[in-house]
Amino acid sequence: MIPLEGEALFAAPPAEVFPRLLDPAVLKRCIPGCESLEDRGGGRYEAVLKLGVGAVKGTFKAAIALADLDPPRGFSLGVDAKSLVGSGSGSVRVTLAPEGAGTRLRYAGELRATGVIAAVGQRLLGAGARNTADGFFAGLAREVGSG
Amino acid sequence: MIPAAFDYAVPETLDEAVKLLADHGDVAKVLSGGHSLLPLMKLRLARPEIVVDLRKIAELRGIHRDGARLVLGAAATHAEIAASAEVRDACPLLVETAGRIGDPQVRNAGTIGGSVVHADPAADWPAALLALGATVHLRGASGMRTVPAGEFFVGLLQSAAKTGEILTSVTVPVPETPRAAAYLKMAQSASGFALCGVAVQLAPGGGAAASAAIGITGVAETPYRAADAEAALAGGPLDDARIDAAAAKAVPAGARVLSDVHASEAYRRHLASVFVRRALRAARDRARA
Repeated sequence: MIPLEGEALFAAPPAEVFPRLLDPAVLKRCIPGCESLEDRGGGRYEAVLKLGVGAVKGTFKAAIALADLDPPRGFSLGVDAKSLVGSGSGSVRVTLAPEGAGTRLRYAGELRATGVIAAVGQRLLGAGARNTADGFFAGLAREVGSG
Repeated sequence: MIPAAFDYAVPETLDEAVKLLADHGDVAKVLSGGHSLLPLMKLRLARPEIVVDLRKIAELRGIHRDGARLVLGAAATHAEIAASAEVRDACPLLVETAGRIGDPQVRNAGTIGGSVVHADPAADWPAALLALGATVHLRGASGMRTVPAGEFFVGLLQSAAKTGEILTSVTVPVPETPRAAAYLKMAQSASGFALCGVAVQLAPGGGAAASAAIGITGVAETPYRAADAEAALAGGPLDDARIDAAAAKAVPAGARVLSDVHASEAYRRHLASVFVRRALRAARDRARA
């Protein structure tokens, strides 16, 4: 089990940031390596993500589920991702708080891995997840303005 | 343990190799000694569509002195560096580090360029290269560029080298007067990788005024210069009290310390402190000798 946590600062207030976090078009543009993302309704999405950490690369089919929506303060995000190199599942709670005229976003949760990647390098999956999250927030910051 | 199918190219010049990488983008991987890439391919954690083998490129080979710096060709093997009289005279810390890498098979096949660009957080080279203030030279489609070792290692298996770039050499400044140095490590006994590796090079004057460069590998997701420990040495002679103060600051606040089946985070933190102390004492003793 790998703990996952991080934060990001946006120039726009939570009421503007929150809906964009749930907008499939924004997600597809901003998630690094996102090849496709489909809205299955009811807070469920299916995505194909190409993730890589250094020489290690994999294409993951990810089922994403949003729960406990509390606009514009936060939501829970569950991801179940499968690939040829192993599978990972994770859940994080995302919270948004006003900070000045902008938004401080924090996420915290954990990640579990199975398969080859878990046996030889679970830390790779943690680094991959963190890179993806950082890349996503950087992309989102470009859309809404960074703090 | 059989890799997925891949194409294989063996260019004879650096230009050809750079062009192959530019043509294939991120589905291509560079092969040097193969001791990092091939295990990943056998586990299928890496599945390059084309492998570009650098073994025939003469420009990447060799070790030579160029004025006030030592040039280590990317294809120089760990064993070649360990056995080089030129390296021993200019920078014995490199010889000591090379000799501690893995086992004879790894040292005879693995190359400094391959190891550095792979950026394994438990590799030995980063500790010495950070302590020595080495420079990494990269060649890509848009030409050459250089990156200081301190900016080259950016994360777990992630370096500043971009897709399509080939590491061509590592250069190390040669001090005017010899400096006492030491590389000490706790090896993971099966693989030889560093659970903790500490390289130190003392400033001129040896034990008189306390100042040292300290590079640490194996402990955090990214090898690092232990700036806090270096600062703790300042202000007087390199005595046991200052060494203990430096050892206490071996791991900076906020470091992402590794934790796995081989060693917990707490154990790695402990090792970092113990090995900073031992490496500084070893270098001090050598300075006096």
